[in-house]
Amino acid sequence: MSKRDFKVVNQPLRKIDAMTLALGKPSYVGDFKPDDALIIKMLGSPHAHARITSIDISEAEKMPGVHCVLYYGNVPRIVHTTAGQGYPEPSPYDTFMFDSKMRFVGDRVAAVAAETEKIAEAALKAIKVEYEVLQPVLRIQDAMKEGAPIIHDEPEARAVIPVPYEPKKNMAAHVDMEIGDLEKGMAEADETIDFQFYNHYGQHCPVEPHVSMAWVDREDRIIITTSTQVPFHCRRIVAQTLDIPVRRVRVIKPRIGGGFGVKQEIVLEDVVAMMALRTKRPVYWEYTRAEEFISSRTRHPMLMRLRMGAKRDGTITAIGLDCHSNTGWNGSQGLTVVCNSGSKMLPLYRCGNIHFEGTVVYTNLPAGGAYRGYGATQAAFAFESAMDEMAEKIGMDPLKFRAMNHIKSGDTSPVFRALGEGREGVDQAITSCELARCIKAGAREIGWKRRKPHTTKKGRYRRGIGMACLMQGSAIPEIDMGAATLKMNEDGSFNLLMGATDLGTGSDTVLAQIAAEQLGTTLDQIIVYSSDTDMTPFDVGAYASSTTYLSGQAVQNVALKVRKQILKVGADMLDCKPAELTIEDAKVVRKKGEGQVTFSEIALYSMYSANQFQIGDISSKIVHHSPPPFAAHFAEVEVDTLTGAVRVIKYVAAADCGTPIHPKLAEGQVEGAVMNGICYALTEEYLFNDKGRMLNPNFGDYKLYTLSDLPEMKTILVPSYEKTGPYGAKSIAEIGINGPLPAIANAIHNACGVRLRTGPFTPEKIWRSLQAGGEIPFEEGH
Amino acid sequence: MNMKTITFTLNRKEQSFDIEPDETLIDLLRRTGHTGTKLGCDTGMCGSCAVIVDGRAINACILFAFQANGRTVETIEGVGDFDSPHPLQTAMADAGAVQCGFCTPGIVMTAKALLDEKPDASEEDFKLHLDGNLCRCTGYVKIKEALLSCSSATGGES
Amino acid sequence: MNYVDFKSPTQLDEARTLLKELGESASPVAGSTLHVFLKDESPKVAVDILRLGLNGIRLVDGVYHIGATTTVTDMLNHRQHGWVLDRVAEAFVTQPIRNMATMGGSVVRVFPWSDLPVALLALNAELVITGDAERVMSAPEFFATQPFHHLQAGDLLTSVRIPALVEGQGFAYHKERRTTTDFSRCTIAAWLALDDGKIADVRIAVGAAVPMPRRMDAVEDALKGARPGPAAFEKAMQAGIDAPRWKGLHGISDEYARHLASVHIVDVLTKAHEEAKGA
Repeated sequence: MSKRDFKVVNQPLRKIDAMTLALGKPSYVGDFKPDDALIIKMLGSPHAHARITSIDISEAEKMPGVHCVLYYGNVPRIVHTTAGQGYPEPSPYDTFMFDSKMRFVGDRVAAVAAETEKIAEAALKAIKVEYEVLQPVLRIQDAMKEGAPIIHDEPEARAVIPVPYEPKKNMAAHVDMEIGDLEKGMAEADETIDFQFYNHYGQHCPVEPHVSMAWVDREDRIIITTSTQVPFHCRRIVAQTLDIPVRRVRVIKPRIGGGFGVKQEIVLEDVVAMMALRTKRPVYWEYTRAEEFISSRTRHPMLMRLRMGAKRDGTITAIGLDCHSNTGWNGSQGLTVVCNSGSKMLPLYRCGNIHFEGTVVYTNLPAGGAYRGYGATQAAFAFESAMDEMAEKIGMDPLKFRAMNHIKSGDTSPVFRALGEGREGVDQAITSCELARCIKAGAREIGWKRRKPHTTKKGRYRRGIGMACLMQGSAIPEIDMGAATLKMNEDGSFNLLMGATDLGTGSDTVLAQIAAEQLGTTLDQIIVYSSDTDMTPFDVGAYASSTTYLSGQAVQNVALKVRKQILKVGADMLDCKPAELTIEDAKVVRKKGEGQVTFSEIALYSMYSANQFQIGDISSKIVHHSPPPFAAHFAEVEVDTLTGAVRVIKYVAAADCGTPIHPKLAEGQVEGAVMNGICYALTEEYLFNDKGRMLNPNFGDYKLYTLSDLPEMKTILVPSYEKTGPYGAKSIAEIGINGPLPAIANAIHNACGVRLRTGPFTPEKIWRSLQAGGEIPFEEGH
Repeated sequence: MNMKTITFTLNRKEQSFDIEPDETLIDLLRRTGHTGTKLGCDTGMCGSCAVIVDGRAINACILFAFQANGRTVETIEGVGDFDSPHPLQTAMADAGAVQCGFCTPGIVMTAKALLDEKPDASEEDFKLHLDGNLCRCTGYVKIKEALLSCSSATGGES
Repeated sequence: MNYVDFKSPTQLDEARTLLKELGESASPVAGSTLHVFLKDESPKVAVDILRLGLNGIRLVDGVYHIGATTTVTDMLNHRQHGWVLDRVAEAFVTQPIRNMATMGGSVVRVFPWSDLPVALLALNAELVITGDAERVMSAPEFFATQPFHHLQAGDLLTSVRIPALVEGQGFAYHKERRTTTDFSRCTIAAWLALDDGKIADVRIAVGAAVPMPRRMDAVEDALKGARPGPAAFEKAMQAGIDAPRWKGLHGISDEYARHLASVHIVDVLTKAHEEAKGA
């Protein structure tokens, strides 16, 4: 780790858009809805699995105020994936704008664009549909059974990268990896474990649901303003689904009301674009909260088998992780999420014998997608629960067991090469890892020393402490690309144009800080614009914990180029060599002796005086490493052993994200992710009936915490310096969500001896486990 | 539709609006340019639509516009601006309590209603009064910090 | 709701006349917090009853008179001897909803998660309906069915009366929920009066885990005259726990709903007893 004397980076500055948003200034898609916009409403399938045998839209079309009705009979049938990922996409092509086959309750039947919401809703009721109802597939285990109903029986369904894909068996993807010999490692162990875990459905719940609008401009181009994390993927996929050239589509991303991965998906934009094209009117589509739960995307539920072998001295001899992932009605992000279940957790502890297998299956339930944590959340639950169980078996303190095994600076892992995202990974050695200090700092804060075995605890209310260690990545190496444009203005300010997509994380601020630091100016001199496919250079978008690390390097590079141009102009003006100059406080100054020119003077000179040119440049970046951030999480809980109710008393998250470019925002990422993880562990749950209909698509019954439920939370940023990152930074956005499931499960066990292997940890499950003496038979949940 | 005129005081100014009988207050506000009030769930369960009516925070997504007739309504637009932000807005911005910002106006309005009535609100008061505002970004830690800094009882604490 | 018109009467008589004239097509509107739960899409005329002066809490001869449009926040903020509804109001969903929701709206239509009906049953409330003549209904009578069935066109629930708690009496309320704003899994209220160290009178009501909120007669009978304490509470609970048909909502089983009730009946009795003892 090295200490740097930063002026803008790592400083307590105000997030650049914070006041605008706190004042309630028009910022989000819905704030710009044109008065004459047609409103879109979608008719959803009442059946989880069915075929439309007849559909009559004529009544609806005739209704006054209705401008267009779209259904499978009047749109192009173009197979694609809704996942906003690199190209060619690792997700299978298995989706159409509209289809005659219904694959989940809520599937698109027909869309109406009308003058008002009321008319649109009335028109939906006027659409007559008859269905042939098919047997739905509602469990992972049922999807894989011989003779199971085939969800994707359409001939077009295919994988576009070389990866196993067998839709006739409801299999959307498969991946496996062997390092050493699992069986041999298990045989060498003094103790072995072999357990199943299941993590449940969960939704991102951005407070702003999906919302998009579109119109056709005077040049017949489609302008889409949308709440997206992936404007460029959105442009590409919309062009593909409408069968029009990319140049006819412009995607604008204003401020986004939260995403967490769910807006890494083309959920509304194909339909708004098509409606705009058909009606030549502005069109607007906003999901209801219920649609957000049912029809957008979710966390992939996974059925996991975790095997581990260890010697009594704490050496881990074998790790086996088999994941069966439920991707729901389409295969969006299925392969890459399950790949991350392996690649983002298996390198965490040193072990020579590792087995990993991931199988992704279709069901007739809501579709999985990208969700903060992206597979690592699922694996961390199984893996870090098992670490505690193994520690107990070999009679070692779980903290010590982790501390002696975890990966350290200078180490590598064969997993990095063996497992990438949908293909082989990239070799890398760990160049920054302060996990040991995270463990120490977190243990001190939670009071690990006072932790006692559950067998010593008495009374109705029992407290327990649990922990978990975590890692993630920083961008997808050799795949993800980000770019930035920087240009100088007369007053010495700069326009920073980026494809990088601030979805509320504060990445615009973080990237502007990097630019300001490199240029030698202040944050207020950077005018950020992100993102607009007509105006800003390409960036894959906000996902894979990539923005600070990857887009940050693109910004740093372009700022360095512009800095050189500034020095060159300064040298012209001061009649010396650039090497004799440096930059201080937005001025070019001689290193020795008198003489200086301000940025404003330089800009004016470059524009109006001599050798005129625009000071400015563009830089692109792909990364060759994905340095993991690390974290140690600790939870203290209290269990009411009479009812099984569990309350989080305190939660400590100690994280190593390299240099936190903006410490408050970095803490905010941890706190938000941890809170999301706590709710997911304890209260968030999809309830389905036996026909696959979600019963609780609302905030009344799908419970998120509020301020009134906030436990004591402590975030500790343990500094390190990642030499490949911008000013030493690594990622921080995702890792925090992976801790609460295992840390709380371990804390519950430490409180009352109950071991939970299926989320969420409801009072009833805990009560039943207590009744059963500690554990109930394993069951696949929802 | 049966349009009718109602009159109420909006951000200190008496104004008349033609409304439909089943129009909610948020629909009226947003279509008249008060887009700082956000729609997050449309069922009164997320608090992003909170506005102050006769001194109390309410969910504008479920209150019918006609019920505002004759009353006093305050929205985020009436609370502050760049040159004169409300202390809550400054505190939220400075504490890092504004991430995506979609829930922020609702939180500011709900907290303002409390502080207007009780400038020395305690942490418990904030917890009770803010129990209807969902935020998915921040985990509430920095929001709590910001709110506490605005109470005369807890100002300066973190 | 499909409101095609609205009326904003300022006098009770005016409102009643309107409601009577409009009949089925009228829909009284107060706090406006429940329409999202109703599926009714038939055209209605909204009658705003918030301007009739029906709000306010008054103590008259040891009895609290709570106006029908008194908000839950007003009940929460009220501080006066023998007033206990603040404990119920605190459990009532969220601040904006407490600010909007009224006593009347919270009791004329019962939802599984309703708070006030359970408390009113335990507190032996009386509900005053103003029609052509004024009628007073006891809580058990009022909640025997969905209460709006008691209201004819032109009838309005105008106030609720609750005896103030006096010395030797205790009241406790518990709502089992996973977060502070969750729908209830099981709601229990208990009122208890001591005389000479024995239980002179007791009322226990349950909600959420049963189809309609109800009193637990068998538990009450087992307690009357008994010496209060953990053993007596447990025994009484056992005596009556299987009287209702327990219904698990929001993903919990019927068996667990029953179990929650069994734990919390004892809990609230214990708390009510503590208060009655003057602890």
